[in-house]
Amino acid sequence: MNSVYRRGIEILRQSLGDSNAAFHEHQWESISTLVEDSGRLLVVQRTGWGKSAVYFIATKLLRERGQGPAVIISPLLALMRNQIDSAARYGVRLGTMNSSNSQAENEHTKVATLNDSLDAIIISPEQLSKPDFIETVLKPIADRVGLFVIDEVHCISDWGHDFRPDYKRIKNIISFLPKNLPIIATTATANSRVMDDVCTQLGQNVNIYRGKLTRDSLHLQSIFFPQRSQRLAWLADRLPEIDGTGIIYTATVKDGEKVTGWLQSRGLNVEQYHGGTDKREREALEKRLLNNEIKALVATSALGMGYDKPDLSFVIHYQSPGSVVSYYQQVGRAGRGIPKAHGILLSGSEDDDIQRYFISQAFPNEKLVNDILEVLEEADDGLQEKDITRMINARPTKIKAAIKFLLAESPAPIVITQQRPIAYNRTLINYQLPYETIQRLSSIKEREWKVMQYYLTIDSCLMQKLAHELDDDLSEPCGKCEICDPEHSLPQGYEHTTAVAASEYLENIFIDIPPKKQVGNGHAQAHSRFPNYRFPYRFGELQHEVGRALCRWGEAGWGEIAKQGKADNQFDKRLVAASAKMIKKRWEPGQQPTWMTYVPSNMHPKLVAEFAESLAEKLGISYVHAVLKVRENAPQKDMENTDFRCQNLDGVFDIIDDLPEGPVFLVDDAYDSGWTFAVISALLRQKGSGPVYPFAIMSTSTSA
Amino acid sequence: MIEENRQAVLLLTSRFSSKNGVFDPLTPTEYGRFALWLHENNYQPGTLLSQSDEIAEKWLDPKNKITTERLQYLLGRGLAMSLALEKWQSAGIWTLMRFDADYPKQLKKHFGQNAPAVLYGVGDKGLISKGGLSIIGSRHVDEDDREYTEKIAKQAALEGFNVVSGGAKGVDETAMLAALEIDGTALGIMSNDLFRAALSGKWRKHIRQNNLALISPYYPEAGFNTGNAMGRNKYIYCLSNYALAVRSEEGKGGTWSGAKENLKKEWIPLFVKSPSDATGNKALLEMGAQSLNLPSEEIQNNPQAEWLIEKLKALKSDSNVSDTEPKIINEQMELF
Repeated sequence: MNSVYRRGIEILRQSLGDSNAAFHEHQWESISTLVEDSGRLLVVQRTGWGKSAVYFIATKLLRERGQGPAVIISPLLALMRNQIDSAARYGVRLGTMNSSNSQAENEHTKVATLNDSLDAIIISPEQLSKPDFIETVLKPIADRVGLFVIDEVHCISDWGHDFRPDYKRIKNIISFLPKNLPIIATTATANSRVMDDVCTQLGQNVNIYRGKLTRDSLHLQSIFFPQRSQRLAWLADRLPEIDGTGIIYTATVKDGEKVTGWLQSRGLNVEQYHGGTDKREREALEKRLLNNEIKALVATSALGMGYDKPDLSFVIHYQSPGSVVSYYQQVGRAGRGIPKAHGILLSGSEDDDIQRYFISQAFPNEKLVNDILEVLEEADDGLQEKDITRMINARPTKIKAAIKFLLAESPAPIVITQQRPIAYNRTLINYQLPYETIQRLSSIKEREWKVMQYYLTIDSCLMQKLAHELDDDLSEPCGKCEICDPEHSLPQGYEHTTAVAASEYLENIFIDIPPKKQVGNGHAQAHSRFPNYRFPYRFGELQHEVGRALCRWGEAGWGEIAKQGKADNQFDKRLVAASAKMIKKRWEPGQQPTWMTYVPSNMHPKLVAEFAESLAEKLGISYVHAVLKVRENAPQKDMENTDFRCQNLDGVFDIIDDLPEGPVFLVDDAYDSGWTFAVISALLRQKGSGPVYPFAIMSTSTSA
Repeated sequence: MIEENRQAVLLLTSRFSSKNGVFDPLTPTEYGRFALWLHENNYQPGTLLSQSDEIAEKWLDPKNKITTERLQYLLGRGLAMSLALEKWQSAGIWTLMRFDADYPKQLKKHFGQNAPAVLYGVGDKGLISKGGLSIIGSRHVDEDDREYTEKIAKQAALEGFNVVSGGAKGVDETAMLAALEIDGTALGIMSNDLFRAALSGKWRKHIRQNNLALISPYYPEAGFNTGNAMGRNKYIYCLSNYALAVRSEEGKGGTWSGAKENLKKEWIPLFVKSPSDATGNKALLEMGAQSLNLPSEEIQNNPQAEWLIEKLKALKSDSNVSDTEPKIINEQMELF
């Protein structure tokens, strides 16, 4: 037994407070590869096996030999305090660097590393895309790094279910690392193809240690309910019967809102969690679930890697994820430290549309990419994102995503050349979107979605099928899933009254139309957006009141009927009744409007006009053609960002003289970004109208 | 092993950030000394990545500058190197090392073991060994010098000469851009900001068309520093066949010191602009440089003219420069 091993086991025993503790199979071999051979290692083991023990002990041993600190790339979700305490058990002093720290905190970590009072630092992957961070914080430390650790390494694989642009940079960095720098990569979800890909990227002579990924404690079930209302009913009735606390995953944030609102209205103690939630609030929510203070978090995939709760009793999916492997990544969180846990997959008819949408949005559009490159090519120097947005008619989020994609390409056609504010330059290389790669990846996603859909229908052991997709060896059926053991599965039914309540709940969800407060961030921007109307840069008195939309475009119920009406160029009469009902019973505007007007269109002159006229009649108020369209313009829905939207509305409308007294409803068929409402309301107010209450039949807004 | 050799050479000799580290990378002379010892002891630089302890134990620097501690520190900068290479690669920057086929033999001939261990560059590597006419001068050009520079550069390009210069503002840029604009080729040997140049609009299209290469023996993100600005002039001379100094002040500045060194070491024939009131030009003429006037309008507009070629042929007899492959002191493979 050599002295390194002796010291290693000593550290392990101290960390566990158990003088008889021993390494699991392959733990010591892993540590030795790093410490004694300066080698490269891929460890594929399920959460809880002890991957972090391997790299913390290796760090400690290397430090005792005089090596520099370890750099750990990890999407940090677990509470920072936990990470630091966890490392401390191995005698490793850990610092963190990520975007939720303040600049001062990151600076402090850097200084502490430089004067050797830290043994390891954790960096979140997004940090590597920030040149500022790399130059000022990472590079000074990088001279002395003794170990490089990549957590969740499946993210660097194209073939993986969770390929991320930020991880692409990691892939590039690995390719330049010399062989005298030991590397360990870990993951808990990877099939053989992903493993092979990662190994290739890690170079030659990579040791691989892989264990069984599937969990014995999981009881799997999968139920198809075409309608959302059915799934909501099932959840409301069945959730109280499931022991313990857990996670309910939804595919979109909006669905998360609905589920949370519904379950809360039924008296269940759940909270919503998604990527847009404030960081501190997210940490608080994670903690509450960890301490079993709430029954469940209703979350998107933002509650993902890194969150580890040993007694997670259930993972329920309200909608299907896009692949079996990503399903496993989420459901595999349950049952780590307890003997029994539930993994229930509900799916519905909207899933196919949702997944196809995600697949179509995964890569930037070719025209957008070419436009961005052209705009940068013409510029002598760098351009900022806001300059690019002004020049290209595309959504800011799409432009941002395209830029991120291009930055991660290797060799990259654009680079960041200035930090504050961030500016981009075109590089030398000739560039074309990698069609083949995109095609290949899109085909993979489509194939994986098909496999997932097939999984939803199988009548053989669910766990075996999952294991098969992970390339885990499961020769026997699990004996616990609803196929193997139907008697002990959760019932598939729900109360009829619950279902009725759920339908009503969905129908009653209203969509607010908040007023815009500003025309631009200053006079200059306001004038460039509306050179004709010249609104002041703050709307002030010209603002409209909070308005309402009846439904969301295309969604079950009124949304589908409205969508059809738009296509038929005539709205179903039932929409008039439903709108009147919503206005009378469920919406009480501050001051009851006494008249109604509408947004005119030259392309479809009767569509909204007739609807508004009928609605006014139903409400018993007068109907006035107060707004005139005096100029042609392009369809507003083709405008993709604020600058284009505003310029497309400038000078287009005018208002009649002699407006009626009193507050007014302003009616349109669709509400998207809200600029049409904002502009016409401002014009009405300028002509002396009372408060304006916008009403739209449907919302097509993706942010509302 | 090639990859490991490259990594080891970079780790020993390169900077990866603007801030100073605990130890400086090896200078050309230091690296020359160490590389020779490695060779004599049958080690390749890449072996340092797996046997650094063994090698460090055997090595003892006679000048006591290259200590074990310094070597271990430099070799331990793997992550820093990786971050830097990743960034430079995105700007299209490659590296050339002495054991690469495209590494200019002229540098090995003139500097032997002290030839730069690494050249960073963008663009067509073939332009580096092409030779040609170097045109150098100060960063400040008056109208007269500018016109002269442009016309000579164009004439050179017209007659098939590669234009070599330092890539700096003033005479360098004027000469290079003038040649490039009429589809000639150019080579810029930069003392600073290679990374920024690689991304700048003015060079981009010429590099894409394979008409331009920019190289530097220094850290690609280095800012201007007089030492490097003077230091790289010798490479300009060694990578061209003839040189033309447009303006120099006697006793001052890089153009003067470079020209003087060239004449002293008899690298390549040197011309100076004529007529000129520059004190340096006059002094250089006395030290052995030739004067070069502008060709006449007719010649300038005649694509078939061989005016420059004739001028340069006339020098051949009394120079020891040949256009044939220079002999190298060591076998190419031996020089790491």
